[in-house]
Amino acid sequence: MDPDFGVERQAFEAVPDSKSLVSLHSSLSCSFNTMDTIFCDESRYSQKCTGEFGEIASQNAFGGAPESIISNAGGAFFADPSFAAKYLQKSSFSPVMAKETSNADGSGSIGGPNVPILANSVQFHTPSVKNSVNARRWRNLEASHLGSEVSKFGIGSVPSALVQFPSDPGFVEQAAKFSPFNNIDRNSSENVVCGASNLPPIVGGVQQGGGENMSVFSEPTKCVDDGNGKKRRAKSLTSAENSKEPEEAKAKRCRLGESSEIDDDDNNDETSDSNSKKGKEKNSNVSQKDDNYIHVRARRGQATDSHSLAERVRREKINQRMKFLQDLVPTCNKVTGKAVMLDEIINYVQSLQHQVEFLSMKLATVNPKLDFNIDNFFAKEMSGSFSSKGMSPTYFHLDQLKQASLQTVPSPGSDIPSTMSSVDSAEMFDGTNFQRQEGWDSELQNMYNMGLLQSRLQQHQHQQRPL
Amino acid sequence: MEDRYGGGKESAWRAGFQRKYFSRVVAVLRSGRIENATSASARIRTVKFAADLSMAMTSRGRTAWSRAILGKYIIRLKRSRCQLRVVKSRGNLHGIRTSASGKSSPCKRTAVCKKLARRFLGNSRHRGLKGTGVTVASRMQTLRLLIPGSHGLDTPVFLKEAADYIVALKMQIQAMQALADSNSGAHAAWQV
Repeated sequence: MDPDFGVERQAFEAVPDSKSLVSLHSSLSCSFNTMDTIFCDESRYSQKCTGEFGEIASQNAFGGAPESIISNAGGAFFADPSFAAKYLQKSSFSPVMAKETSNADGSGSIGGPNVPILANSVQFHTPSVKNSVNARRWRNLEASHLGSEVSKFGIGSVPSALVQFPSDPGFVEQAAKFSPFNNIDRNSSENVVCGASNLPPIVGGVQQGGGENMSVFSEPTKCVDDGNGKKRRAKSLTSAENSKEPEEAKAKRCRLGESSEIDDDDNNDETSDSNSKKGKEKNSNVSQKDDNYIHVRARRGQATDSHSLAERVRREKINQRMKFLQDLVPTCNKVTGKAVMLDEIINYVQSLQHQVEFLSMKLATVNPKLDFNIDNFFAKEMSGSFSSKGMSPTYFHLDQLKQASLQTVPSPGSDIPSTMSSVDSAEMFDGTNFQRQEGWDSELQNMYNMGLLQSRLQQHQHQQRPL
Repeated sequence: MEDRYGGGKESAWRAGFQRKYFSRVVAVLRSGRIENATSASARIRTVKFAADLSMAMTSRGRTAWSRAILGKYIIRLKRSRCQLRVVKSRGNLHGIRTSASGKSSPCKRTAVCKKLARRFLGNSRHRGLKGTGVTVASRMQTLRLLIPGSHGLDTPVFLKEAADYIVALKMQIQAMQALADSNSGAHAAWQV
């Protein structure tokens, strides 16, 4: 028995759950140091591997699917069927598969003919691996919800391709090398090198849709540093995924209301703040194409239900608004926690309302005649302000509101001289007064016609409450 | 929403504040009945009505509380004029329902007082709250009572309304203070 195989077999059996597939694959790669050893022993090896993998895979958390896949393949020993699925998704692989199957059914001899085929297969599949959604899911398997992820994989769609997969230990080795389960390093550019220049040509060729590189399997013997090869391969995967991240699946579409600007701010902040270990970011974009659709990405280690995602979005909206309120109310700065903050807000609103009442009382009592001579000076401004409808009535804007509220605190008196006009408005007073009265009514009428109050009007009509 | 403030934020804000100021003047003038009102409370009510109305006008009905205030007072206006129009419904207000939140002040005050009493006395019998009595939800409910037009709103929308309302109240207070000062203070100060 191949000593390498024994080592790897132990590694397999030592793996009780699917999360330690990292170690599994690393051990696998270590065991496949050279192609030569495996090629010598391939027939026996293939049988053994199939059997071993089959029984061990069944012990894994993947469920019954891998068993069927592996048994059907008759030697497609991939410890992780999802990994195999990736490689077999391309339809162009099928003619190759037929060839492989014939070879496998025969003596299973691996030699020259298999090498180019495998090279082709590698070429064909790296783009699919890179560009597929499954690549990221594959990565996710390492960290979280392995079983659920695998179940989402749609393995059921794959077995037909897997059936034809060759029982080729060489391919296994290559596949193991390409496994992203090892030391995913995101910081590097895609530079898949297996100790030598063999893989980058593959990757480059694949990316450019280039020609076939026949030298793939001639190189693996030179591949001294298997760990690096895997790492780099994983890097290429991850870098591809990073580039594709904003668009990839697992983005839940939450249909939310209008407050899109706030969500933009909100989510941009979230994006900059979240530094998950694997670089997953929550990107919510209000896409202009979809009306009121906000794309949300689940963070690492969090549930991916649409419900929980929507809830999270909602919660963060609420938190953001609470923070804004905290800035607005002067007493809330030192306070942490929603309850106490809400208390402070309630007190503040009540105090403001009392102040308004007090001031109105003061105004009512101080000048019963409502002598607004002073305000004559502002008659012009009044007309100006009423005619211009450019001013926004809603003051709700996160930063600007804060600044503005802070700036209006130093006296409104400073505003008055700035708006004073030199026009002698004494005679304008009566005219403007008259105009204003009409204007007031007309404005109210306008608001009616705009339909802003019709609902309230109906309610009051129904209720006929005495006011 | 934010695009409107694109250029000068402070200027827009200040202009909004001036607008409120002037509209209040107009409102008080328009109400005019302050000379007719005899009792102090009636006068106070009128001024307060004018203040609220001006505040709501400045908000142009974009916020729920402004709509609530306007609705309440327009009904009063119309009723006083013996004119009740039937306005055809032209489509509902999006999202925000201004439900019967324009409660008459005594009812609202009792409700708020009850809530506050319950909060501070820790009486949780009515609600069966978990914990010692007052929770975040009860505080939210109290806040809803305080802010007009917020009864039927979701929490995030309601918080936004609350922020708007607080800002508008602040501006209203400043404007009224300025008015009171100008009326009671020396006139010469403004003529500089």
